Amino acid sequence: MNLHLIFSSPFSSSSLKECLAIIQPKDAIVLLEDGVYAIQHPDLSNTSIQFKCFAVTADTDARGLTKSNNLTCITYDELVDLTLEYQKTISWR
Amino acid sequence: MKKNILVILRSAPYGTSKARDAIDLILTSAAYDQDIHVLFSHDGVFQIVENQAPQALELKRISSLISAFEMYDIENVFCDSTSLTERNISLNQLINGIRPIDQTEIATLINNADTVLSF
Repeated sequence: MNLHLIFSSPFSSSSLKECLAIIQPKDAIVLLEDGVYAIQHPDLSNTSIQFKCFAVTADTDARGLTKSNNLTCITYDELVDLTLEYQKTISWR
Repeated sequence: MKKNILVILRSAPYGTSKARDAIDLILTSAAYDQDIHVLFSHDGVFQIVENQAPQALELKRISSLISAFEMYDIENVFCDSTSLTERNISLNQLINGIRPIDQTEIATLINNADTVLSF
């Protein structure tokens, strides 16, 4: 059970792709900073593995993104709670 | 001396300070009466999407600064239509006053410029 933090835009970085290549079913992804642009990227919706997906509201709001249904919106305080829930946190910059 | 300066903005707003730095350069150059051309391409097109609300990050809204270009007589503002399509952004999501252009027109823009700055 690991928590993957995606910090960079999947349109200009391979972070999301590399993360999705090794993600496991009980893991979760958090989209934050420019990583929230993954909401609009086909790689995230086209993956066959089931995992929870979160996005930080401050970052989606800043960028004018509309949230999708299969995504849970969280605050930075709730992100701290998530890091305690999961065994390890992996940062993809 | 008046120069034709093309500024290409290729970075998303807020994640880094690149967008803000480029805009500061554009506004300063316009104040010095330079002939400015602006092109948003790749992740830079995210700067011209409407409904940005960066208050929680305590940052200024980038799209509002870009909307002010007209007041500085910066009228040649373009975006790369291919970058929009790749990111699933439609034209009605964009702020006003930005003209989508194709790769051929981008090549012309670069050829006509005295200086090209990329952020």
